[in-house]
Amino acid sequence: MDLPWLRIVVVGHVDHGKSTLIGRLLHDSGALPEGRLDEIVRADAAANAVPEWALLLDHFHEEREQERTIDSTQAFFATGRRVYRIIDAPGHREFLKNMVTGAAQADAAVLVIDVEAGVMEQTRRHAALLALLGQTRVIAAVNKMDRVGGRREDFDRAAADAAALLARMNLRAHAVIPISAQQGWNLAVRSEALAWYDGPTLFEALDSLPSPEPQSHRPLRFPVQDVYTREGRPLAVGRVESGRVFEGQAAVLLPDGVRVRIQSVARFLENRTSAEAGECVGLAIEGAHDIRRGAVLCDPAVPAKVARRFEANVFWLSDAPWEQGNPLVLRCATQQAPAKIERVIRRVNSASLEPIATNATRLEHAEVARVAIELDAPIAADGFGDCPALGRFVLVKNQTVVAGGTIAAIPH
Amino acid sequence: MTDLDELENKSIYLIREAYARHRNMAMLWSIGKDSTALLWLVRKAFFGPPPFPVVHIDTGRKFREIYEFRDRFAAEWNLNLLIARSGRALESAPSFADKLACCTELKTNALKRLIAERRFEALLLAIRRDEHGIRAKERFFSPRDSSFCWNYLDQPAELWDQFGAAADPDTHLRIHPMLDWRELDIWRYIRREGIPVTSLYFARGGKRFRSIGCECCCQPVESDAATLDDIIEELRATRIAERAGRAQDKEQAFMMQKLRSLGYM
Repeated sequence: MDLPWLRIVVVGHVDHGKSTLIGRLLHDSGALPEGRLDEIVRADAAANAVPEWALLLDHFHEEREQERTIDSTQAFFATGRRVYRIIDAPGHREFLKNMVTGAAQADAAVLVIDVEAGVMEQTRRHAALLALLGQTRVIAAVNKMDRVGGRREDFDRAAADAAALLARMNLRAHAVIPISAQQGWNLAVRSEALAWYDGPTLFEALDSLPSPEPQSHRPLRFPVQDVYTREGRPLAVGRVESGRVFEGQAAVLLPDGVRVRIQSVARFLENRTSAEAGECVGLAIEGAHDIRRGAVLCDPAVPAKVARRFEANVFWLSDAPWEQGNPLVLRCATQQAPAKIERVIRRVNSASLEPIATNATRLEHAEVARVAIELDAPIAADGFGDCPALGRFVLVKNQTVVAGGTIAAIPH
Repeated sequence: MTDLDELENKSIYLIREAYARHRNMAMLWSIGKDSTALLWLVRKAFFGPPPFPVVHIDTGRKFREIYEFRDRFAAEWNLNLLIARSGRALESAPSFADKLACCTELKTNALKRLIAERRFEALLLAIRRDEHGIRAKERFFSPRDSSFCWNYLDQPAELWDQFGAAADPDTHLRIHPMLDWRELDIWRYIRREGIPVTSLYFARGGKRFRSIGCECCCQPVESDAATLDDIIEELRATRIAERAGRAQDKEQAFMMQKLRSLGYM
């Protein structure tokens, strides 16, 4: 009865039809409130009444006027198998941080490509960011098939481009689907106009995506979020990012390396002796004198690394560029440390995917780079592939997130 | 974990994150279903009474049931309850025929005065993305400037539960731990947890309130849903928008955007 969730982000170049696709999905899945359809019907050139699907998502005055999405929006729809929380990420370069905000929350992505225009600047940039964000579940939707009369040759060309782009990013499309968002072709139902296509519809492809992998079987990581006093004793609160916690468990507190034991596991109004990945709990910890926010409780057999230096892939989100020597603060889970980018190993234009420079002294808005980072104090860190929660970070300047990154290599 | 567990844990994480970074904070409690569910999550996050004030913005135009419910549970849950009122007497307040002026004076300005007085750095609010298209574009941590403006054209990036904090001391953060919840999830959670809600939500004489604001500006919807199970069944089937009975949303085009850019919740 209560279906599982999946968060989907819809990305792609501006005007390739992301908002139209979501509007149409809401309609075809029966998620629109009464009366909404009438509000978006407009007269086309031939004075026929046609729904303007994208208007369903554009609620700011400016968005309606300029006919473009400014911010990532969320909407919801359900198929028989799942509830989808769907994020519309804007395709303009200047709204990149909104796109990243949307994409970082998603479990999977739909990359929309206009069949006539093919792979464009933001298609490449979004694909590069999906790869960087660790988003490996990607469906490519080749849109506006109605504009080419449903012709297979046109689809094949765009599909080959899309596949080549994703392969370059080390991503593989879960499916590549010819669609028309405007006409509703291959979303919920198939279309006669695309009778040659025998792959899944978008709904079928979404429903066949595997659910996100649970983190409970991985080694324990519990970043301390805060310390409360309960019944006169300190209680470390936080979220189990991976693994499990249980009463009596031996653990190591990083970065200090203190051996501790979990005395009890607390949830309000519940009797608990354990908790799994994803749960927020309080832990009474034996053997630690001074626990604070930022300490990370780890499995002693497979602890995180304690690192002051590492190599990372970063994407620069701020309009203001980074210049050599700029002081930054790194935040990784609940840890925080003054940081600097010691060296830019490789700097890439995310729109062309072409390298710009090595040993650069500057990073500009929307650029992607491989960098060496140095911290003032050590943190507990993992490679992004080993433990996402301790393998990703943001860089902060004046309390504002200016970049995001993932840890690629930690030297011994 | 079920979907409700996932939503609950995410909200608790955000509530604790807010408090870890802003000890001088408060939460807004309208006594409606969403903010009462938020209060429940706050009690879970802190193992009992919230360590900060719970603010009720009292327009003086609320339902009798709302005041009764507030006073009963403020005592039962041992809340540090703060009641914020507009400085202007009700008689001189804008006529509620002008909804933009009325909401702005009785709600937004009452809140502004309280924040100026108490210098709160952060406020927890129970808004949800599925309530209104404008709220769908909100962030979990959303900065306001001293005149309460929401700069929606330039919102901070949020990724991996890392949130930028406002740098200007005159600003405050709106923190939205329930942004991901849908109306249906709220009711399923209320049922699962046994959270008390005001009787106005349950049908009497073929009508019930689905969204509650001031008595003068909200209309009940046609409904026979007299129990939690009925409400959940009704919501699974309905195609009527949640805020259909809320007058201030629809008086003029982009009303919600105007209200919110002035600091409305």
